[in-house]
Amino acid sequence: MTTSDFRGAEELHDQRIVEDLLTESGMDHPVHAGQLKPALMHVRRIAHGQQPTPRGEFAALLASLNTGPTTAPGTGTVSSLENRRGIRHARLVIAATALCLTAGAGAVAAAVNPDIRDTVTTLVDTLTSAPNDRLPGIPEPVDTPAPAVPVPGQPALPGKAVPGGAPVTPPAVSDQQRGEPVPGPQTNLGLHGSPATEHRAAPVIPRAGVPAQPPELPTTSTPPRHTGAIPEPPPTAHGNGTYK
Amino acid sequence: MTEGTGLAQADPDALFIEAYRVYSPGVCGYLRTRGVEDPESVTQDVFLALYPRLGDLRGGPAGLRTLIFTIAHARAVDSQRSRVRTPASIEYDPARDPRLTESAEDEALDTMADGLALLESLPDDYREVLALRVIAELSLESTARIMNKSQGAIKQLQRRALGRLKEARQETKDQGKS
Repeated sequence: MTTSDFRGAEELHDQRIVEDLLTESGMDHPVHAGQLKPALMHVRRIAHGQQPTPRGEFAALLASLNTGPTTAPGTGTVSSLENRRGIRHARLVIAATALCLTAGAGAVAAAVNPDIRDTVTTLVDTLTSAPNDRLPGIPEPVDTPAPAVPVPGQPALPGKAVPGGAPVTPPAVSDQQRGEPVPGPQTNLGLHGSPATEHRAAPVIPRAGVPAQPPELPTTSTPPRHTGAIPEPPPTAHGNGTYK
Repeated sequence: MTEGTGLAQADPDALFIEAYRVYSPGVCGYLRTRGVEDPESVTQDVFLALYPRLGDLRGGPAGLRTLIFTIAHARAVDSQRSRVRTPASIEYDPARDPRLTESAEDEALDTMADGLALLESLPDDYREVLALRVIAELSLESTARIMNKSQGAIKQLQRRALGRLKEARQETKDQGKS
């Protein structure tokens, strides 16, 4: 059947529909039919529009009907779409699991490799270290734990018990009185020179049980200037051997 | 099943596909005459609703046609009700859109434009009865059932509709002469 034959059959079919309607309504008189027939043929052409392009759920239904068996009509459900959703859900779960396993394997490999571990350690140290707010050339103070025994020069309260030892009394003679250099921070009162010239050595906090190193001796022949430490007056000895 | 339409299908799935091929243009045109905003999409909704009911189909091809247009009529009524509830929107006029070019769909709409214009000039019930009789090719009995009226009432209604259509054509001719 050619296209023109199809068009001719369609046209005849349409004319029959219109004529039947006119006859049924009693308007098949040529006077009425002459005006109504062309109008009704225009209305009839509305039925010959294009077939709508399947979209969305309906397209999926048609595709499933074309590709494979589905639930028989009359059951009230279209199982093929549910199956497709289930397959898609399973694919998503598998993909997520594979992604998690890949990430875990990568983390283990990074932990085993010493190069990566060193790099990470360096990075963490860099990020977690304190900001460098000191002047260049000044060494950082040595971090010392709290002394278990009293530090020389720091008098403990008389009679106070030191953990793990007998009550300690202050020494009878200080180190300064013996003519030995006193380790510890030096106080600059600004009497001699600028502060920059007066700070010749960084203060060193002695460790417990470790003898503090004596300060460096001047290498020049000129007598050393006063370092700013104010000598305390010698304690007055009383008859009973105690000091006040 | 239907002479000239190739609907003699024993397989329900094949029958459904063939029914869509044969009836979907008419359903879409019918929905368009009823003022449905997206007739293509609603047409597919009609056939989605048809598919589970194919097992209960009775009456052969005439029963299938009646069932399809019964669903389409119900969807058109739903669309009209929802349109009343929603705020009015300005209709898109493709003729004023410079970005568009002529397409096959435009040409198809041009061929139906005269018919749509004729039906739009009629009251709603006149338009409904003519659409069901001429576009959907439904019998008097099926039309009466869908519109929930007696056959006599439908006969009277379509007679009045044709009379009103004739007057509209005459008015159009008179305006063209003047």
